[in-house]
Amino acid sequence: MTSLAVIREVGRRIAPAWPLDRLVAVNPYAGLCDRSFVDATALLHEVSGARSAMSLPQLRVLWENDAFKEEDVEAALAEMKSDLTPAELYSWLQDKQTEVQMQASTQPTVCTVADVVDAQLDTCWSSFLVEHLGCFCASHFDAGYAHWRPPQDTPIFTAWKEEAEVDRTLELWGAPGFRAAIRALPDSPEDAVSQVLHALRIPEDAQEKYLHRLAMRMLGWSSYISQLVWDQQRFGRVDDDVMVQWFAVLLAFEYGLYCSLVRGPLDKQWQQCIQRFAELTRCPQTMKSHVQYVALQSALEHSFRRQLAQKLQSAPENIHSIRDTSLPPSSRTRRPLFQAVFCIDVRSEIIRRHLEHVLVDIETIGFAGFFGFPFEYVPLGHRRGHAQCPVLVTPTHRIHGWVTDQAGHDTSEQSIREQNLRLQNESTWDLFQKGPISSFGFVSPFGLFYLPKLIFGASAPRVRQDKRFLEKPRMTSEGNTEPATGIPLADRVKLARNALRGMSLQRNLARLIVLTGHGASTANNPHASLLDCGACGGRPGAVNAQVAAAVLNDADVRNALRNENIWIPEDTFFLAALHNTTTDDVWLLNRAEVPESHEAELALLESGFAKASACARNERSKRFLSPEREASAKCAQQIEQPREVNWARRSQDWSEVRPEWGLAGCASFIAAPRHRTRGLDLEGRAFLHSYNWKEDDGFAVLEQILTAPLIVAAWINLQYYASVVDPELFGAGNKTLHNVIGGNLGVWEGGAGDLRIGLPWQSVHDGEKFQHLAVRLHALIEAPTTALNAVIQKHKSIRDLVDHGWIHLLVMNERGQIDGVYAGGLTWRPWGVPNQRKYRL
Amino acid sequence: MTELGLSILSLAGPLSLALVALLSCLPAIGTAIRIRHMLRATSALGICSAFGVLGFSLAAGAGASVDARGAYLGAAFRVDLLGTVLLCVIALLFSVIARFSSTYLRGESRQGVFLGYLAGAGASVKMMVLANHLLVFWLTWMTSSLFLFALLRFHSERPRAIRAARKEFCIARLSDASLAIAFMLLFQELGTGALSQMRHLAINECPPQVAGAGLFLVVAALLKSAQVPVHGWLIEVMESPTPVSALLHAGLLNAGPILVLRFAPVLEASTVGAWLLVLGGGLTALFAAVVRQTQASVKGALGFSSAAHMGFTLFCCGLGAYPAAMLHLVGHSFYKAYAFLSAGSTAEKMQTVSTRSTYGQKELVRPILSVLLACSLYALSEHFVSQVLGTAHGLAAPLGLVLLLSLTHLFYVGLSSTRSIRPPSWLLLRAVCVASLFLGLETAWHFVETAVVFAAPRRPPSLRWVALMVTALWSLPIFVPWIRLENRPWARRLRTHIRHGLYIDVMLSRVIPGCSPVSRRSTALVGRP
Repeated sequence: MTSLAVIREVGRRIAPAWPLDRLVAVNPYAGLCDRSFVDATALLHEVSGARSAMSLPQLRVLWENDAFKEEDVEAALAEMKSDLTPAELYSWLQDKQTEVQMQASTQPTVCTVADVVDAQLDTCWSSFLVEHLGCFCASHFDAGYAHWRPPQDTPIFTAWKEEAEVDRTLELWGAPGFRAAIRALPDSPEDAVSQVLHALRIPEDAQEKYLHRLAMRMLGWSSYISQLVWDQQRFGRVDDDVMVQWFAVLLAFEYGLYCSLVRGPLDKQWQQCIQRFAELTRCPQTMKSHVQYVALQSALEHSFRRQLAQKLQSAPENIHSIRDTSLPPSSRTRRPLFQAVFCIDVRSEIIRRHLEHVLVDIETIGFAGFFGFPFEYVPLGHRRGHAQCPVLVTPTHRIHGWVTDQAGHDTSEQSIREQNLRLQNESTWDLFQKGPISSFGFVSPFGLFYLPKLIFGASAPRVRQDKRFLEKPRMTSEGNTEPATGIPLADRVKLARNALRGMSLQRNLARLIVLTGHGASTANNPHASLLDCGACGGRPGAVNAQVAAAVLNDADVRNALRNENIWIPEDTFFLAALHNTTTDDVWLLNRAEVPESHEAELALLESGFAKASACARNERSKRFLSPEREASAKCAQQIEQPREVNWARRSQDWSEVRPEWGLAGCASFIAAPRHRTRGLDLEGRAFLHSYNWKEDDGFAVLEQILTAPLIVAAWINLQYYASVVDPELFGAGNKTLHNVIGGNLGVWEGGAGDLRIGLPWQSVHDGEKFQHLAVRLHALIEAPTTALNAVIQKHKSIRDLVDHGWIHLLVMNERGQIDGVYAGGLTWRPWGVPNQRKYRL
Repeated sequence: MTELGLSILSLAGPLSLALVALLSCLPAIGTAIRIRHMLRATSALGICSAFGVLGFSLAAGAGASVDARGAYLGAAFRVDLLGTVLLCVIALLFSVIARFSSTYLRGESRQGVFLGYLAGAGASVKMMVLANHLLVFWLTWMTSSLFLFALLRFHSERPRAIRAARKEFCIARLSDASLAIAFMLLFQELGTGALSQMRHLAINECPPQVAGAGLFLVVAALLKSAQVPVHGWLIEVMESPTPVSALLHAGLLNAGPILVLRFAPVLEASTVGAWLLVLGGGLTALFAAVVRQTQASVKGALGFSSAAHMGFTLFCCGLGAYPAAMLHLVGHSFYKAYAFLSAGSTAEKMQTVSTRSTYGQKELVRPILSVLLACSLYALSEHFVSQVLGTAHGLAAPLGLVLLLSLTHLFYVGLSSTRSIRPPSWLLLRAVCVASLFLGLETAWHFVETAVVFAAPRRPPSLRWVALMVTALWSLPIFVPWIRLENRPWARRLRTHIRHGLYIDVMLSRVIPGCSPVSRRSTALVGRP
């Protein structure tokens, strides 16, 4: 393999990370899923010291609190076919010495020039170069924060080289000749790469690990680069090989240090180090401890699975009364009064359950929150839009926003004019405030006016319904051809058909069907879009709900669908709604368009939503009672009545770092008809996708579920997993230290350092304990195993996940019970029978 | 009101805060939730007491029953207008920051300790502005900085936090030492430690001790307010939670200008001190304001901006424009506290900014037009203000130039945001607002302050010329976007050097032990505070 091919291969192993305005959960192990879980995490440990499971003290606490039991450990070991005995594992878990050994092994075993220098000269160049290069990247990719920015379109290697040739910082800190060394490098990144690899004498078979180590040292920026490559491929832009450029920068930095610091005895050290590279095999001791960690992790997951099975089993007796009223739709003689489609997001589970409880005659449906309409949305007056669909999907259409007055006349022109004027005004004022000298002229008189902002920003919550909702997606380009907007009829019909099929909404449609997207309203929160809908590209799902409702209400579309034997009754109306996950309010977005004939139902629905929201809030408030408050409530004998959480404040308070728990806790994915789980308290930990395999011809929908929503759920779950097991490397750190860089590129933790990716500490931890239990996703699907096998065999993306232990696949039977467990290699074993398959490490 | 009543009223705020700080050290009482409640109560009490005192001193000043320059609370403290205004500002800011921190740091394992340090810092600053004795002033000056040091080391597991705190510690101790020397000289001359005696200093036959004291005072202020070349720590201390930055940049950093304002009579005696203020402050203002333009991180940019504003305030002090300095100080406190606490919404704001467009990058019409517009507006408003006031009083020349430059900048960026070169009405409105508010507030404040607090400062005319030259230098960065230098190689190189702060901080850090980011020793000695 040439070194460029090695770079591309290593670059592929780095998962992408999106900027703050479109943060979506990403599986940090995404590039490594073609290896087994044990193997991939062992590799990551070698090149970055990453942890693969919860730390020993955490596991010990879980063990002592009976979070997993002996039977789970035995089952896990049996499944892994490991030589370990349970007794050995328990003593390892209890032994305090183990931690000391583990601490010593958190250092990566693959070395870089900076590591060798640091070890020999007692310096910390490696952390310094992360800071220094991190600062450069922030400035280079700056999207508009700094007023004096470098030119936008210079490739990163060229820009870096130009800067490194004149930057004196390194030489002042004691790396003489650094600039000269960089100046001597060729200008082309490809040549620079081969020259540096040659000069450092990296043997060919060690290149892969060495480059992986370099990329992992700056994981944040490497992930950012990986995202650039991802989006280039997704939108089919010209590939200028930014990954090679990036590795050229990383290598050139090493080369500069090598030239200036490594000589004499140090050079010998370096040679020994690369010698070891070549013969680097896994240390059996480390590998053993690795397996021990994974065994305990699996035991924990066994315990979760056991509890899930119990819960499903206990269901029929406990919730008998509810079952009666919620017969499967096919057996109904009467149409349901309402149907409500929610995102599969785990936060929907709570409000769906309460909604079903409040409005008995409602049917709720789980579907990906973009409702199957992948488009790019350009808000009114904006030049560029953003993709309102999962990052795995390429948007196929572009839709512009517009506004109308009461009578329905287009007022966009006027609105754009007003908006432009406001924009000019505001941006001028912004530049004036921050300008080099004008800031003095600004602060003297206008500083005093910040006092009210300061006081009311701090204490008075401003509850506002987002202004954005006045704006609607423009579905057709009638009347104005420029710019083209909307979706052509043929595509509208196709998308509507697929959406209805995916939602299992082909017959027995209710009079009112609510399509509920979701978004979160938080204040002063750099990671706000992480709480929005991941299926809508890290944005609120309001526009998707509006587009879907508009298409499905469209008479032309309905006529065309009728020809395809999909019958939408005349009196069925699709409502678009937004579920605010922070306050659990549901806002109806096209309420004004509801025909008068539906007013009575609408009133019932609205009051149902209001009640369900209140119940959902009540349930969620338990999770917000901080331990200290619980203690004080105990003292005051008030534990019976959980204190009301002030949701309006929480969502608008600028000092709130935990406005909501997001998807923390997510552990299972259930694709089955809703009546299998209706009435079950799944604690807001399950992704619920409605799916009825009996209505699925050719299992096309199953294929879609396994290759899109399930993968997204796995990404989210593994993102949380990684942020909990190794918050230093895969988490975004402490929110109270966050420092937004480049306007919306991302955050630093503190004043410098690497770009921080993943979830902030406060999103997974409440100060006392983790709010997310690190377990891999359990996908529970009701479908014939032959059909599942066919899909798994066909798609590598899902095969990698299930065959390599990144998610657990379970199959559900018609009684809503777990029936079988996927045992790898397209084999299944019945539930309750120990595994016979040998787990390959 | 009796003297006793006034003492109780004014000291209620700081003393109750000090009590909270003490209680937070006792593990039995200092649970986070209790400290939170106590801090909220005491910061509210602080606001009430500060405004009570303000009301009283305004009433007393009008009634002339009490010396307009202050009522004395024993030997150690006194209440006067300068002190009271600052007390009110600090009480307001502190209460906002305390409130913010009590939610923001919820769940942090050592929140109680953090709030205790915060209360301690608040108590010392409040006492500092009330101090009427050199020893009290010096002690509170030092304790506030020690509490800051403790706050900066809140995350003592972070090497960068330790490095920055260490740098801050060294510079703050130098500042303490310089202040101690100044105070000793002053005590020798006055024979008493009472600040109120300073106005009896005979400026005309000024002994060299007083001049020396003035010089050391200025040095202490420059060190305290992070002026070049010791600005580095201010940028690096972002390793502590956001409210610490807000407290530091909006509160504790102001200690430098407050010192100069407090000891204005002494400064009259030291021409060298005034020179130092004008040059040190003026050049820092230019340097930091330019570096700020290249910073990509929110907090980094705000850090440089604070250094620039402190420089500008000290520059005004050196010029003798105390009212302007005071106005800027208060305005900056509110502005910067808000900017830091709302730093998390940067990404949100960026979404609107990213659709911004600029026109006319390489032509000269807009620059020339904006200079003309600014000049005429300035002349008009200056004329109007002097008409209204009936006197020929205007701004000091350098301040006038600042307004002129600001207006030029405003017109230029405003004109570049529209396609046509006709200035839109909102732009004119904004500009008129800026000009009239600037002139109006400055002039009004000038009258109030000179009447009540400061004697008219005297400065040699040469100083004013130098100040004017410094201000003229300030016009340089305005021209940067005009010539659109970014794409020339030399301009790119210049940008690199400026982004690294011209390496001034690196060179200083090499001198201070244990501040090097590449030496392991600087992080090896880390321990919990």
